[in-house]
Amino acid sequence: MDFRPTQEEILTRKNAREFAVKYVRPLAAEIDENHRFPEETVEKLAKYGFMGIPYPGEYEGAGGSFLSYIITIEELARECASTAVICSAHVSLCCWCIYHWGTEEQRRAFLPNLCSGRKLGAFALTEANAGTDSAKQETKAVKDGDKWVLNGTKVFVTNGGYSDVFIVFAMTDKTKGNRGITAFLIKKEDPGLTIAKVEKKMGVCASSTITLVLEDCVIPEDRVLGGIGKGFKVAMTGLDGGRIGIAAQALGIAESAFDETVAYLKARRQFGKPLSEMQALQFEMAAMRTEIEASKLLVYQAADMKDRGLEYSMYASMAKLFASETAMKVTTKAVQFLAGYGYSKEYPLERMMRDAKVTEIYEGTSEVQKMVIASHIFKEER
Amino acid sequence: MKILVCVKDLESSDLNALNAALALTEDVTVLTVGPYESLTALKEALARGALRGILVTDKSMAGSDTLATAKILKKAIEKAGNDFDLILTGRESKDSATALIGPMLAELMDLGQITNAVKIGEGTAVKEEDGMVIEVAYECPVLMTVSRDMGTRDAYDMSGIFDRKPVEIWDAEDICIDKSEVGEKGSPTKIIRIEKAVAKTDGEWIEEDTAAETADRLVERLREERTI
Repeated sequence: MDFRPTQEEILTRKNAREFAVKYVRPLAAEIDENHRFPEETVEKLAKYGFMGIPYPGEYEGAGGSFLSYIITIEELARECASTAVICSAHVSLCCWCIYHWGTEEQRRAFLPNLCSGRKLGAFALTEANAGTDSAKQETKAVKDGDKWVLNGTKVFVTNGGYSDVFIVFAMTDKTKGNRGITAFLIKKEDPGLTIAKVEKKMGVCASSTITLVLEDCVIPEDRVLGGIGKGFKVAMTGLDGGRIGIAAQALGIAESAFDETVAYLKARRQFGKPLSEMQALQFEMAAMRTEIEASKLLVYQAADMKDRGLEYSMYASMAKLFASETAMKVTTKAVQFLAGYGYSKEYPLERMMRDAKVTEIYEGTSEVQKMVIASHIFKEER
Repeated sequence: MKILVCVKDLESSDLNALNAALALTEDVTVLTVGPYESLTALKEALARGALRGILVTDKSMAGSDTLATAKILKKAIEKAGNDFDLILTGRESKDSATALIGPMLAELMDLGQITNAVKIGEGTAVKEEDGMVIEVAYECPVLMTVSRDMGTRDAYDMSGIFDRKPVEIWDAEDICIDKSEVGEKGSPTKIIRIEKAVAKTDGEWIEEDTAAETADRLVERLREERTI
């Protein structure tokens, strides 16, 4: 067992931090305030090779490991959680499903544009009546000769307003439940696609979250991803990897909030001494630091298992469950410790606290993560 | 154009030297003398676009001063082909910041040198010295030390990190240098003692309306600072 980062991981973190400090930090407060999708940052992420880190050069990816990609999400999230989730939804939900489940023709048709960042990807699974119970898909796809016709409405589609490619899940055989769901590759220019609503959110305000309506969306049959009836598996593959991305996002938020708090406690004097000399606060900070470190180990372990081709689903859920709850705890306490300054929009802590909350919700709530973990525990015991 | 850049750490003006080289040509070799850990700086230089990376590392070289290091660099450059049009170094390293290695290497190699370059053009370069900006003509081969004021820091394309270009690793034997010329034995500089310089803080001026009030205020301040 070796907990030391490799040369590549050291350089990845250094470069990602340099990028994030230079291009992400200056915009973070403004894009949150104005609920503005940072197109200029996405262009820069593409230019600097961040939009396809874990994919091979033949698809115009950077050829790195999943762990290296996870480190970049952590570093981006330190500065701006919205920017981190734009990258994460694109890389680990959209691109990964195509890379893992696509035919060679589909990979060649879609991945170079996505991995280079020339185009942006999204993943459209959730519906108004199919959230955690994602098998209750009401979007339908019907075969018509050599075409498929899709009808339905998807909600909470991350990146949706700016995406060129959507992975859309639809019921192709209602009688089969989970096994009746099929994944489709949909392009922005396909007929019958409408963005019906742009979501207003509590946090990650600069990421685009939309409702996507498909009305007689006709697409050729070669857009089926992973085979007919394999949609649920495709979705779970995407979410397993995606959860490590969200866990890394939560980790970055927690680390950043923690660092801000340390600096504040050292500088702020009350009752004739710095707050950092008060044991009640020291103990709280010690516990927080320990939980952040535990999150980090869980996140890196899950990513490393994925790189090694091991079964990592349960570990991804553990990483997300623990890292997101740690981020919520750390940011909430950070706001409390900074008190008025924590609550004020002049400082980044209140934004971090709002951003942290969603990490306990999207790509599977904390409750879903517990369901996944429990299913593995009891599957193992049989 | 073929350029060799001597780097120690990319936190210093060495990065400016590397960027200056990459702006002039694709054919950039980076050379480092140091412990095995220096590999990270070389890997970063390769990730940023250099073609060839060379690490010279040998236990016997530990403790080398600027002169011994310059001798090692000269030998390594000879082994690397000795056909470089331009040899660049940062003006000074981040740690000891002597700004000696570049000029010493130029002397040992019998090359012309331009120190503290802020701009490198074809046949001419601009250097800064004592607040003056001086444009000088040069002929290759030549050695230049590059100022921290040349260019700006930036991130680079992530794919560079995963290109996995190999680094050539050489020891004293590989570069044909006598071990007596390197390390503490080969270093005329003897450091007796190093201590941290204490920065003086600004004083505080106390002046009240009368001498007595000034004295009272002084005593009060000294008590606050727990000096008395």
